[in-house]
Amino acid sequence: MPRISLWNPVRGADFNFTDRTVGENFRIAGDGILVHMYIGPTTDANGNTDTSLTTIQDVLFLTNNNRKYDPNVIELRGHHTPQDVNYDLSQFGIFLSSDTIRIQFHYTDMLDSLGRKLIAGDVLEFPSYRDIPIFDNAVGINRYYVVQDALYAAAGYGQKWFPHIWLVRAKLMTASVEFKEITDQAASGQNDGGVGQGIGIMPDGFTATSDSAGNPGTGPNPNITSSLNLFCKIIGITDAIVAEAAQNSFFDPKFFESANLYIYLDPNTNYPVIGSYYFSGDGEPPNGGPLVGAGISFPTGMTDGQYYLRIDYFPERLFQKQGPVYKLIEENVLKNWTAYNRVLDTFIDNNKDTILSDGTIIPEKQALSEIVKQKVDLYADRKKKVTAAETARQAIADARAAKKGN
Amino acid sequence: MDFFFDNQTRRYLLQFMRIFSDIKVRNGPDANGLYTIQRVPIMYGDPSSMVAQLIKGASENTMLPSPMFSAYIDGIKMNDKRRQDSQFVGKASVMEREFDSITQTYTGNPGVRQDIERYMPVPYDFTFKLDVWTTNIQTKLQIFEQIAVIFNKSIQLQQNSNILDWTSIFEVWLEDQTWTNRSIPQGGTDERDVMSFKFKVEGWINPPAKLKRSGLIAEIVTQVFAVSDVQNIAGQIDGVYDPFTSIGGIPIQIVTTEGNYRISVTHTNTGDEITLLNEFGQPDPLLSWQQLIQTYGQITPNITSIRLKLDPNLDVSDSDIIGGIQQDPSRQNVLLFTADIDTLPANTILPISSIIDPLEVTPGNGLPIAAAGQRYLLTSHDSTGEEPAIPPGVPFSPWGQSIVAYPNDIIEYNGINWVVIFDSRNTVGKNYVVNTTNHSQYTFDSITQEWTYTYYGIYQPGYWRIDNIILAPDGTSINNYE
Repeated sequence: MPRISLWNPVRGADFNFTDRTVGENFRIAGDGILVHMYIGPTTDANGNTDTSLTTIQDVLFLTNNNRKYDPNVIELRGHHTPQDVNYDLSQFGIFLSSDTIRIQFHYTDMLDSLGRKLIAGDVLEFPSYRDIPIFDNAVGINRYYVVQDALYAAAGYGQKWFPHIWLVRAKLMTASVEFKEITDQAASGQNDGGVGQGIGIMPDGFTATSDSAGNPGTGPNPNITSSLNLFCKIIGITDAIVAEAAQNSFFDPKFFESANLYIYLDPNTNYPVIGSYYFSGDGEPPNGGPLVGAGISFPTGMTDGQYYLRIDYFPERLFQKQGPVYKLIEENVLKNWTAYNRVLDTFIDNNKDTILSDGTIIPEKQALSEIVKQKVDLYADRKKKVTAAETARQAIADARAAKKGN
Repeated sequence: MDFFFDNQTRRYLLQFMRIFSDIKVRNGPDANGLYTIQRVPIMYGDPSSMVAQLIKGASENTMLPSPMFSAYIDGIKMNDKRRQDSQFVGKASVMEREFDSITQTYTGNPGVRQDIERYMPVPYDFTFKLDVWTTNIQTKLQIFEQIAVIFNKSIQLQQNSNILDWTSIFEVWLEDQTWTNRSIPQGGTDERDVMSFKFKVEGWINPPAKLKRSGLIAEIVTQVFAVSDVQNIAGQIDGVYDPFTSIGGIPIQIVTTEGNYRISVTHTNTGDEITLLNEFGQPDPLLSWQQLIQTYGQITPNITSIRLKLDPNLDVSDSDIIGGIQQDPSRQNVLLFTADIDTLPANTILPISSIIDPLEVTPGNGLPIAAAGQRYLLTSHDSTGEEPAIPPGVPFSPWGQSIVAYPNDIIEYNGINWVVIFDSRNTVGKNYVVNTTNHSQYTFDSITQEWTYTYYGIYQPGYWRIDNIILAPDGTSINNYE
């Protein structure tokens, strides 16, 4: 008679019985959780779009920033323990004090439904947590978690030592580039924030919404987007801060509201007294006086005391005809506010194009490391030779080292 | 104590946050190969819980966007090094253009004139922090690279555009960065990655200013103290004690200065020196220019200068000698002084070669052989000025037979004879000449009948002043007196 042993490398009927029982528990009592399966980065390290689940997008920093998700959302049943959480006020706003949950899934059902295990990067959508923010025109949105890690649950091992339960630790999703496909998909209006992609699992009291054109699933719905993603709210706050700052100082780099101040005129010549330093740098004649015009050269026929703005200077310069000379009065320094200084501005906020002598049009703004780069690799042959020589030398060195040990 | 408040700290913070309000990141490519540009929002990092809840929509499901900036005030400290004359009042006068209240427009004509008085603001350094929350390092590097070129190592900003606010321009210094708040590599918990920048903002806190209707008070005061007016008054009060009679040609001026220090301006082999003296006119090595100057401001090289007043009337500045100063590195009570030659009185006599006693030295005997253009200022060890330094009729005199010159005279060799070109006994007013041997200028006053150094000597309180000692908040240097 063979020795009694629960362990058997062959799972057998006992395992199947237990597994079906466990699975039944999940299917009957589990929460319906929608899985957005990660299918790979949009590109690999070389920019190729033919990627797979295991492709690493940035091999230096070991990150996958731009992710593709399977547009087909699959429902799994899982167990988790809802917790009372507190809000955690941080410098970036309010987070949940415990934004991580643990969810258990039936391993076999998971494999049957997804074709693979849940892995880090998969996104879980919880219709059961559906909630409506207090914003105007807000719609109901589900809660999204991102799988951080996944492994067999210690409590999920059966009598035969085979596991039945897959434990997932997931964290609340942020509206960041990694999950752009998820949020875009949710905003498409397909069944309210992407609930089930037509599976139609909707809590009572909620009805499907449509996009801004009234067509479900054909475009982004701003109400969904603004309900789900706080970017619009916070960029609005940013814009309000900028608007208030602009009230204090509108132009760049130094702007003084002095056009209301009277510029003293020399009683003998009626010319402005430059030293009175109340010029505001707007290129306008003092005391609201008339400007003859603006251009790249002084017009003929200017009479004494008339003003002209030369726009061929940078910054533009206001001149006054004073006897036989054109006297520089002030520069027009008012421009759009930026944090950069005036010179750096011309390097960064630069939309100009350069037309080369061969007719090629290229943007003037170029990364310094890329400027006037060779169009074909003129060192390709040399590189091959050097590489081949080094390979041969290395082979000899390795062979000698294998023999002598150094 | 009356209330005042001008939202000054808020303005500094607003402009600071504005710096980062338009930083962008480039996301992608997405599954369609497209890239998107996204602004990075910024908000204050210490919101009230209630407003944070409102932003969140009172829902646990809304998602905070990342990347995101958060800025907040981390500290504030008074900066003693930027402190200037704490009780200084800066004045400015402006005239507005005439305002047409009917058309609500300004005309090109002069309007009302106004005087503004600004009390010295208090220098404060604000520590502002900027936290950057990112979810991947590529985004973080994009943000870092854009911020990195803004600060090298500071930028100037403007917290308001009022030309009369001398604190409107301020400086933001990038002082420190923390790459991440996480430990590397990250442990079991996936912390939010936050990069931090620490900035110093050199600000000023102003009390309220005064706005006054501009008047002509200065002219009225001048008329009241005009000597002719005083003499008229004195003449009308015949036989009665008249306090104005003690005024003389100069209004009474009572000078009170910090420490009532005097100074001694002297010439040395290495140049001019100004020694700080105590109120009794005695030198004291323990006196310190640095301590005295710090009471008002600081020495700004090539800008701060000392003004020596030669005219007895303090209100007359035409004859002031102005020169640059530099602290003597080994003597704390001594400044090195370089007079601005443009402020010296114009020479009335061509330069002399030296000062000589013509009985002690002669051409070819202690002096170079006579050559045209040589000039000497004469002195005499045995003459009180009434006896000639070069008496007439001396046989074989190396100065010639025809010349008679007295002490204080200046003689010149014209190629044939020595002649007197400056007759000290018959001159009127002041004359000036430079000695090419030591490059010093001398002044001859016909009243005192003496040659003196033009500006060497002891100066009483009020007769020396330091110009451009205060570095005003707007970066200009100004005086500590009006």
